[in-house]
Amino acid sequence: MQQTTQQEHTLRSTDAMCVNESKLTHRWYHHLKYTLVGLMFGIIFVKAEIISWFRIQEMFRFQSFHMFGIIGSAVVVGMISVWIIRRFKSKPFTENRFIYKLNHSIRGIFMEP
Amino acid sequence: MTFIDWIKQPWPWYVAGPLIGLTVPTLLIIGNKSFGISSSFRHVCAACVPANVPFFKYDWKKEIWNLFFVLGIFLGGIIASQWLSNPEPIELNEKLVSELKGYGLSNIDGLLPNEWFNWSALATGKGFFLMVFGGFLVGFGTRYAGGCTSGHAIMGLSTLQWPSLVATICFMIGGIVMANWILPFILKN
Repeated sequence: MQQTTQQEHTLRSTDAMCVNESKLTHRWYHHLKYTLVGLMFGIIFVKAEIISWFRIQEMFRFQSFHMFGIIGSAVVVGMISVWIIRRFKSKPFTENRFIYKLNHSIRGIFMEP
Repeated sequence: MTFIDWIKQPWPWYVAGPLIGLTVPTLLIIGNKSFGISSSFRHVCAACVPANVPFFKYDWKKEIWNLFFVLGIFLGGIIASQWLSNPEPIELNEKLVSELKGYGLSNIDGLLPNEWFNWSALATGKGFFLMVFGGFLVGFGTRYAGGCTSGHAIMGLSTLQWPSLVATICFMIGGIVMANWILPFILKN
């Protein structure tokens, strides 16, 4: 069983950026939260005219800043968010650690010449 | 101005961009999912026509969240275009408008040139080339690059992956070449 799981994982990784296999089994309606996120995403794409053929032409002819602003700010916000999430995940934020850090930073403030 | 009138205006980049960026942490937090859209094509193929292709032989039900997400995008698109659409014509760069007029386009309403992309145009050589061959290239390129524009540019760059930077640069180069040199040639003829 373990081996087939491994095989499947290898297979799914081929030519794909990411494998998003769920470890949990949910009832179908648990996935509706993704539909909700998608709903917002779809509305943004239409309302900001990102899917407009005309806006895309403008972008590739460098006749408008609109799309570059969207891509740039989306990437920056995405990068910062992933950085924050990784920071919190890799170092479990236990109470002890928090007190240690607080202690350390307070000392740091006062110890600086 | 009522709320609905306010929301119907085109959304500026500094609203849309950060909101799109926030999709990445939202999906990570609510279900530890990596943002991506084009994988859904693969899951649909795996579900409908696995055809004994090793690439499609996996349990697509484990990735079903992606199909729910894409369904949401589809429904969101319908909602926005049916009930939240901007009553004013799109504000485009004058240069682009005059260039498109030069190719015989008179109507710039909507999200794409209706005169070129419609059912009867599909039967013409140019229309077929633009829609069917274009669609083929989108599908082929997405699989060849292992991800689409949004997957590579938004999720890939957010997670600082080199292949995604290469892919994004290539998407931009491809788009610039297509829009400036190849597409004008197609539209002129």
